[in-house]
Amino acid sequence: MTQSAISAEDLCKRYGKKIALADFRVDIPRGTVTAILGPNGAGKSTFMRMITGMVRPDRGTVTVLGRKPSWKTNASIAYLPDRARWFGGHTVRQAVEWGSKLLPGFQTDRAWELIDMLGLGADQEVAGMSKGQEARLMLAVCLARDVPLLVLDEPFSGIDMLSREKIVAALIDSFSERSQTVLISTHEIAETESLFDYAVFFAEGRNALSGDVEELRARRGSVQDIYRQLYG
Amino acid sequence: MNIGTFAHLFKHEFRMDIRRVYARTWFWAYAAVILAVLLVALGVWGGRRGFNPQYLIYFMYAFPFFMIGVGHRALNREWSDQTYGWWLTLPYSRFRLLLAKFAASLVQGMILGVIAFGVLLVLVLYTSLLHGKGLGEAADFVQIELQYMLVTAAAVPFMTALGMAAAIIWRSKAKGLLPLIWIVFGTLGNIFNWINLYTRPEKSESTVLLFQHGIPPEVWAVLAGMWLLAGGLFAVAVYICKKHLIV
Amino acid sequence: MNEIRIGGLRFSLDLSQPLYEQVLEQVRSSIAKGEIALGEKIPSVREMAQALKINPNTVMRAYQELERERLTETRRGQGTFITTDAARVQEIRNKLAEQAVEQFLAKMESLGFGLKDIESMIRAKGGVSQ
Repeated sequence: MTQSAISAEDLCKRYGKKIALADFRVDIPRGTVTAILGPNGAGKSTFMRMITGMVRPDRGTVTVLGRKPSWKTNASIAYLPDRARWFGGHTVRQAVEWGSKLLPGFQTDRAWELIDMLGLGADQEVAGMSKGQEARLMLAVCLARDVPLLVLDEPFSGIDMLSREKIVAALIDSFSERSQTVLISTHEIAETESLFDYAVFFAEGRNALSGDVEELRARRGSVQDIYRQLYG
Repeated sequence: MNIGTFAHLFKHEFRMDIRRVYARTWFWAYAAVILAVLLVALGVWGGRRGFNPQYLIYFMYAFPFFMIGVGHRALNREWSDQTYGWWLTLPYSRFRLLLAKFAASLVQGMILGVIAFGVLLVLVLYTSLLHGKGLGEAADFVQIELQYMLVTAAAVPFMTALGMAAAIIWRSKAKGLLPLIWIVFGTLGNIFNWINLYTRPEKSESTVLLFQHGIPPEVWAVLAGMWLLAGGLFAVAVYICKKHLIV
Repeated sequence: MNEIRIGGLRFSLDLSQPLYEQVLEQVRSSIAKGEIALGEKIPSVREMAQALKINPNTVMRAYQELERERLTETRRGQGTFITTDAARVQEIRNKLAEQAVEQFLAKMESLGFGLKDIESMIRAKGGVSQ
């Protein structure tokens, strides 16, 4: 059996009275583009934060690329945090410089390719950018890294349609370019379901359903259909 | 520790702080206004009997408090700018990340301190010359400044670390420690007053010199002590950032 | 999903069914119908994935299967091309035709029609658009 990229067992996390994860378990295969799905508050972001070592579980274990999450493991992970902004004082050029100096695996040529593909200019100022433009910049910084694992927490959230299309195109280009394990959490299932190899459905901190997307299609229908079945 | 990446982290932190405050026009507008007011006031009232331009040094009493703000902002900025997701997941230890912020804050403090002392010296010169008192007062003022610089140098690392610790504690499970921070802030912030009290028996009323007969050896010990305390407080901040942060 | 045309090929993908099979069948069908000529170049995996907005892995799997069926051939550095073997294409046409007939017969049977009825129906419809 091929080693999982990410595996979790009996993962528990609560914030005061709110339960974020409850005995969560999953095995995400290497090299897949995996959808992390579920309503708000189902535990998706908490799970992603655990993978990158931002949050520690109360109980249970999570293994990322065969290791415990830590700042050391983060050298192999490109993470796009949810509700993140970019550094307001930067221009696109300075953002690329920041990435090349501080992020392992950052490929400057690839970054510029992506920035061009995503319709941004080298001297554009982050302070003047729209939300969609800023999202595209942050995605470029992540995709420019040649690392085994890419974790995108709600990259489409609140982004205009054209930006979303550009992001999807950049993602497909990236998947063609290199083999990575990719985790994407999103609510925009209609637009993105055709990108996924694997899917994990979160419900109240648990793994309600997970599996190979093509198999799920054969058994239960489209990802959208399954979403309605589970949460409708 | 890779010196290369630390340098880049440091540069990043420094640049973020510079842009945030010092590149903004309102900061310089305020500074210009205050300077203008001082120049006018000193021009008008500076020659009066009983007014010793060396009193200007009392401005420096505020400097340690100011540095708490610098240290605090260095950390809090990650939350107020919503960049903490990037910062906390960088592939560097919390120690290195916080050290970069601490170092950048201290360097800022040094630069600002030098500028502040320089401006004060210029104002004293201005007042003396304007009211025909010659360079004697300014020469004396340099002596005073040196003493104050020493005390400032002792206090600044500690106050900066205090600001950083406050910011971290606010975002952690150790929130309950915050009142303690306020107490320390209140007492130690007034370091210049404490020193005055300490040297009070010997002092005459008319001088602003902290130490009448040269710097007593205890001062160097206290300076070293304050720096050690600063290191300790920094270590506490790193520990809380590693283990008890709530994100 | 709406119909998408790329490089002479036509696709209409249904997300509630496995995509890999659909891509495969639709490429086969295009070849059999002659919508794309013998020896003609088909889009790269990346181009196809972009046009269809699907995971390149899915496209890759389909391409690999097509290669295995000798319907396409990859030339290093040049891309992927439809086979020049006309007989092979004819084989596929026949196979698809057979499948269509099988499906038709099965459907008619399930409706309760026998071979005789089918024959007369076809004759009646006769001269089906040629």
